[in-house]
Amino acid sequence: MLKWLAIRAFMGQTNFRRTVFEFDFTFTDQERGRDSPLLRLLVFMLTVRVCAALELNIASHYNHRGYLQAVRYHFEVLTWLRLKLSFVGKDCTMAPNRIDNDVKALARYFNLKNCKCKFDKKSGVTQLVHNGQTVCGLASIASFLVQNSEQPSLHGGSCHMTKAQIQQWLQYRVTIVDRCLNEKDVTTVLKELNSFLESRVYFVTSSLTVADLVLYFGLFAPFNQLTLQEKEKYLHLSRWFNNVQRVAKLEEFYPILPFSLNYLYEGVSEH
Amino acid sequence: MKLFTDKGNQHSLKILVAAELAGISLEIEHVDSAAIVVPFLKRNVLPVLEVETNEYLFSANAITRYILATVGKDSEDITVSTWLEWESTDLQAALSSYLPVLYGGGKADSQKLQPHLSKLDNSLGGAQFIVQDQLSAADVCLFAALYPLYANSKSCFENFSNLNAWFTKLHAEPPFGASVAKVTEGKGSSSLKASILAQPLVNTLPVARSVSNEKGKSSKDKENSTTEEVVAKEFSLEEVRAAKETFLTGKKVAPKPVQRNHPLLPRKDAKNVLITSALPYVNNIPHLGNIVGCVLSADVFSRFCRIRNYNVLYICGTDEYGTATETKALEEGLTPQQICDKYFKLHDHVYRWFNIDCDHFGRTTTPQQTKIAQDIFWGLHKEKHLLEQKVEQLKCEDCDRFLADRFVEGTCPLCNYDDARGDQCDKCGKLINATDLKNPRCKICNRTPVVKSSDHLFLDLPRLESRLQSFLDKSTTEGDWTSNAKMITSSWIRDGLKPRCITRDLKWGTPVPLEPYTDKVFYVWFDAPIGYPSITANYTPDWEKWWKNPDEVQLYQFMAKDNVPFHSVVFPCSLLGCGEKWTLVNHLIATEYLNYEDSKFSKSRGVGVFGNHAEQTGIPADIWRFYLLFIRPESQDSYFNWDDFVLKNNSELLNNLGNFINRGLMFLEKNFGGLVQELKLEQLDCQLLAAVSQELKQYVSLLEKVRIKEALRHVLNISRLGNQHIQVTQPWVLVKGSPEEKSRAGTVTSLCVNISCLLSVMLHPYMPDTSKTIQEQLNASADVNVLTGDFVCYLEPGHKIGTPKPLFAKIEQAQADQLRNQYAGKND
Repeated sequence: MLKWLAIRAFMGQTNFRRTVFEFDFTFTDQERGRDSPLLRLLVFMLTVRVCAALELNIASHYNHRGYLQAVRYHFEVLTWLRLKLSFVGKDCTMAPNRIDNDVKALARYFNLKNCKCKFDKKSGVTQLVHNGQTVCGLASIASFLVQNSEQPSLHGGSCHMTKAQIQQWLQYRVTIVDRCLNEKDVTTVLKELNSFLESRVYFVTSSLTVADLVLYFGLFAPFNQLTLQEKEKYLHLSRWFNNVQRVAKLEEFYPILPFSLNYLYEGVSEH
Repeated sequence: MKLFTDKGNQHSLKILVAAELAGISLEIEHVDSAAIVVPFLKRNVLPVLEVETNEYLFSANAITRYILATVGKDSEDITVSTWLEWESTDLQAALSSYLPVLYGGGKADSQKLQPHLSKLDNSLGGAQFIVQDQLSAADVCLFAALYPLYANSKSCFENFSNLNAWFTKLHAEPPFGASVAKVTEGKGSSSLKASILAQPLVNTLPVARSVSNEKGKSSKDKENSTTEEVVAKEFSLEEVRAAKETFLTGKKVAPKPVQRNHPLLPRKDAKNVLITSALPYVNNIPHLGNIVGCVLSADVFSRFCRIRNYNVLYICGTDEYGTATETKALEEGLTPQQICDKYFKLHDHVYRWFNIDCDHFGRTTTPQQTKIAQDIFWGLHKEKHLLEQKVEQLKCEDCDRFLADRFVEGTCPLCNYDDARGDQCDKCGKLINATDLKNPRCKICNRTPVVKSSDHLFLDLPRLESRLQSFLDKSTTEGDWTSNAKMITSSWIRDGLKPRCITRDLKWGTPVPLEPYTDKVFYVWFDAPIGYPSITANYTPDWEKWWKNPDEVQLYQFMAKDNVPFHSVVFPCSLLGCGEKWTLVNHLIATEYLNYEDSKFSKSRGVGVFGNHAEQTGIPADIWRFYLLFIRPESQDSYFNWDDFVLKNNSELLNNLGNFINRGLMFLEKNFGGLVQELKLEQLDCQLLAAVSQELKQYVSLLEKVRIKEALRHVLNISRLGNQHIQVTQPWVLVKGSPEEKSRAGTVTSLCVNISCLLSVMLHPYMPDTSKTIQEQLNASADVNVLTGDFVCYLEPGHKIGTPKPLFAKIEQAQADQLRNQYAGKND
């Protein structure tokens, strides 16, 4: 059934309104859990088509509440599938080597030659060795990379206050973000950062600094788990996240996460 | 700077020691251990340093380093960072589970602490300090972190001889000893207990995070919260009654719109608002970001002020002097004046098309500009705020002129690229000094220039700093400054003001009147802001009533964030120092940047929609205005996106706003001959009245604070409420029923038509043409164009409306795709 639907959608011969509802019935949560690459791919293609069509038609079907719900649902399906697919072969969700990954990514981002990353599984300490000098810990490594890098713009300038603010947010990453034990901790972090960013574009100064990068890496995993509705709840943080992932050209390290440009869940009415 | 801390907090010890070492005295405010000082943090993080209003440092380690850094005592050595990170993560994780037990009187297991102490002990190895035989932040922070152990038992470091020696030595030093006494108030370990028990726990590093159950939970949460609509909140009977009363009787007391008679001058009996928009530089065609950033935002605000019956003057114009114009003139083989004339027309046309309603759109190349700039200059000269300094500069002896950076080319000293410009190398992107170029050549005659020193005048900003600071303190607290404007300004001042050169060796500019500088002109940043008063002087000879009248005039300045320092620091300094009482900026509104489809607007690559393109698309100016204001980069950078543009037009304008207005008008015309019916308001209608007036009040209060984007959403909310009301009451059913039911349909429709009338006024700042069209269709008199904050019935029973027509057209996706390709640049 699903295969047939997907192919039909893909061939572009379909009445989308019908497909959406058929799709709704077929693609239950149970199907989500089934793990078949072919199924995933087919569903993915179908969803892309359906979502594309729906997004364009939101306006003409604005009056139908059912449609709007379908749109929301499919946005979420799309998000889920996009992520599942982009993670094939990459595991960014495990905590211990996540920090290790971040250090590697940072080193690559700053394009520092002759450096090696070491990760001690037992103590959980990540080290960077550069020309015989060893630096321990993510925050210190980040400061070290910035000091020695060719991209002084991320340095934030020589102002003492700026430096202190960068240190503070690096410390926030290693002491708070990385040490969330449960979902409640994660929510607190998201709330705090969201409210901090309410009146700011970036964490420190008015341009991108290493603090944004390090927090972006740290928040990737939790953001990856959010639905579009939750992202809309952390509106300021989401805007910042989207901004950083695009401005800093980070698609090389982590897949670009989708954000909706439209309010999907607020101020929507039925009439 | 003020330090907030609870009593006996060992982390505050870090900061006190640092302050002693730096010789700084800190203002300390003691708060409760559970107090939340930083508004955005959800836990009781202490101590906190308030750097300025709403700017906090909440990491004791960062504060310590900051204080030491201000007196040059913070080491750049990365090992210091490493130790501090270790302290904040590993050591604190161990301590924060150990100390509360120890101080709480339980049996504390020191086992987990031993490896940490031994690590520090080994690392010290008999040295006096932790990093490189020099006292650093690492010593201060570790000392304070370990102090509670020592306070509890002086023998706690017995097994670690190096650590013990290091600790006792530091403890004997006066800065440490004195700070300890301050924190413990001489009461020893007991004074630390309360704080330690209240401090939030530092978690240890989690081993692995499970993903699956998180997912399950969030999808459950989602189910619980899917029902959202703009359900108007319940209003109290009092609110509903008041809204009804105002609606029915308010017309009699509503003021009439004030006529706009030029020339506008400040009046004693009115609120006098002077609005300026950053002057667009003449030789660039403005792109959408430039337009929404200053001229359009200022236009919306000035229109809003006019419907509020304020006495408004909105001034804008083109900035025409400077190197860029000269370069452009050389390129096109014209004189600078011809270039300005040519591009001025272009600008004027673009803004006219966008319906920018300035009271005067002028230019800076006028005799008034020369006079006012020179008067300010003489004022500064008389008050001795000018310095003379020599500047090394390249001079082309063939052309007999000093060369501005843009007039020199040569080989980059850093990457040897042979076509580097005088200010920046295009290849490596580094900023360079023109005098550092290898083999420099003059861009005009291609000969080699020589380095000559030339005398220049500098504005002595440091001498004006205290006056500037007291002006800023007052203006930023009393006025509405956007937070980026405040932030950029305070960081400029924090970095230290330096004298700034105000003269240049150019020909195209305002001449300097003082000998021996008469062959020079003013630097454009000194000159350009003077354009505001000089353009006003071209509008009226009584310009000083606006510009030298700080007591009666409120000055609002609009700009993009890159222009902030010139308006908040440099221009105020020029005005403060010239010995006269000028009107200084009261409200500085700066926008962030608007990007184009995930990248930047670029003239050279042809990416993005520029002012003249908007007209060519055939989409009405009002739609452009609406979308640009809907995505106005108010507190964050935002993106122009064609899909979103289409969606907003089709959903918000066509299906929400346009649909509501058209529905009501058509229905009234078809079923009631276009006559407004008697209003027999029922409970439901009165609820709607209350909801609409609440939206209106929010709209007014947001726009008073120049929150343009947010206010627009309240306009759309009103039409949403209206649509809901029609949907619920179903007048198309009622009209076919009994006479009572028909009269009910009349009430509902007439109420909707009155809401449309209110919407037309609220839309006026954003979409002036549409507002006019709606009022024509309503056949409303011009008297409705005044906004008091009350929703009033302007179209009374018996009023005959005009001919309703659809207000907006659908934009097809295909058209957007085509436009996107057209403006995607040369690469695609």
